[in-house]
Amino acid sequence: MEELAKKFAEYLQHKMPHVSDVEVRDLSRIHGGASRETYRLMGHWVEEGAAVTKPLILRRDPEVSLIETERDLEFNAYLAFHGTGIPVPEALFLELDTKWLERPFFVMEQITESEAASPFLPDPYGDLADKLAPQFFGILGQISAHEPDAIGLAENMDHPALDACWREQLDYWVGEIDKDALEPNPLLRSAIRWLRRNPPPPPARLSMVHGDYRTGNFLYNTSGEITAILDWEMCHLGDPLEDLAWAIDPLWAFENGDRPASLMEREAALALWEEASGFKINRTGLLWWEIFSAVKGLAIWISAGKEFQTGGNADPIMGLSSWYCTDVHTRVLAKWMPKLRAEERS
Amino acid sequence: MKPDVPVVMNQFFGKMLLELGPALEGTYAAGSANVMGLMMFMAGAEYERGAQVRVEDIAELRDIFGEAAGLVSDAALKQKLGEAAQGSETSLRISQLDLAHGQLANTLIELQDFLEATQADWAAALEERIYVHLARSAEARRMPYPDMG
Repeated sequence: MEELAKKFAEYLQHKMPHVSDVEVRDLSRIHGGASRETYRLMGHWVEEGAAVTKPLILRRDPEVSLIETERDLEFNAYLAFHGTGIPVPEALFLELDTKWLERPFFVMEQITESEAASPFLPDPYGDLADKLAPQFFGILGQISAHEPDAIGLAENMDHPALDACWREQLDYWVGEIDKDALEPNPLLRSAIRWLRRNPPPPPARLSMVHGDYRTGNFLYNTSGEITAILDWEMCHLGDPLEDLAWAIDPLWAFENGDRPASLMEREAALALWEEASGFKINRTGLLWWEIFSAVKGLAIWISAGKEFQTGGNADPIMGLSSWYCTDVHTRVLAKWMPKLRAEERS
Repeated sequence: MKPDVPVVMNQFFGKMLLELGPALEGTYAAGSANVMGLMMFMAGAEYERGAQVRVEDIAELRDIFGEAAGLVSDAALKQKLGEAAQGSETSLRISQLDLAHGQLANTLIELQDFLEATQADWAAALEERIYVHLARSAEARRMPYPDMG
């Protein structure tokens, strides 16, 4: 860790030639981020004769990731949404040159006096749930409501046709499954076939889809205020119901689908999102995206399991994701698929 | 072999969660210790039930294939189902049972695909039977999760 701190201090000095005496202290890795190595640290330097201390976050590419994403996508999302009313940390530096820390990384402001909850606890927010709930679903609605091109984030993104949003996402994740699956999953395959036979209605327009908006991916303080929406590495343009369905997935609510995100009653959550986004939820479309969420989840857990099994990434979280999350999403499909097939036959 | 493997794993889980994790410096190390402890807890349960759930799944699948072989019209699939229904295991090692189950699961995927394209009542009934099997299997394989407050 000392070596990393030293190298990162050299990098900060390089990026800020007008300051001196750069030091990195209290560098420690944060647990849970399996797609990027995440470190918190305190940057110290002297600027115009005054001592400066700045809490920072360093997000470095791992050797093998749980999800393969471009780090500039996440960095650009922070840049684009900063100052728009969506709480995100300020993005500072994006570095693709591997000479500094062996792998690409980016640097952002550290949101202090805030924490992220584990999605794998039955009541992660306790008494703060009532206060966090409207913020959680309201902010998601605001993200959906944003005109993607207006904030500059959509410039380098694929703009799928409205009636192709579902296919683009499904094709991508099925491709990941085909590439990484170490064992067959009949429920998963039947869900994929159902999704292809029953495409959802197209959205009214393209929205910015966060891609991993859920319990555990936002920070909040002890007053019950959401202070940052994190982990934008899977953001893309698409159907806003994709984000909503992922946010209300039972996996992120200790399997209690009636209380999504362990925050509030389902219908109230959907109403909040509708109000904040200005979109009316098409229930047929939402169901499609909920089944898709289980498929996408399984794709991610399958990849995690493969990386762990083959020695690509032995982070314990990869193993747990594969065991526990695969189990939950397989049971979600076990519940849904007989009903969906019976409806299809009738 | 005593102590029993689930007992050992449960004890280690408690040690990881309550002693080793808190003693480690840094949230990453402590978090990893907690996750490893949790997986030990799950592994203990899997050790106890692992062979049973696999043998039951395999037996059910062979039974389903036996029924399906008498119903499907596609000659190649009929033959594959018949052969799968007649198979038997020569080893109870988990890895060998997983291998056998994987082969049968691939055949099941092929059968489901066929049934979904078949409108007959028998196909609907067989499809329903398969989903009952898959739901039971998924429940039998449910990962135990400790009460961590």
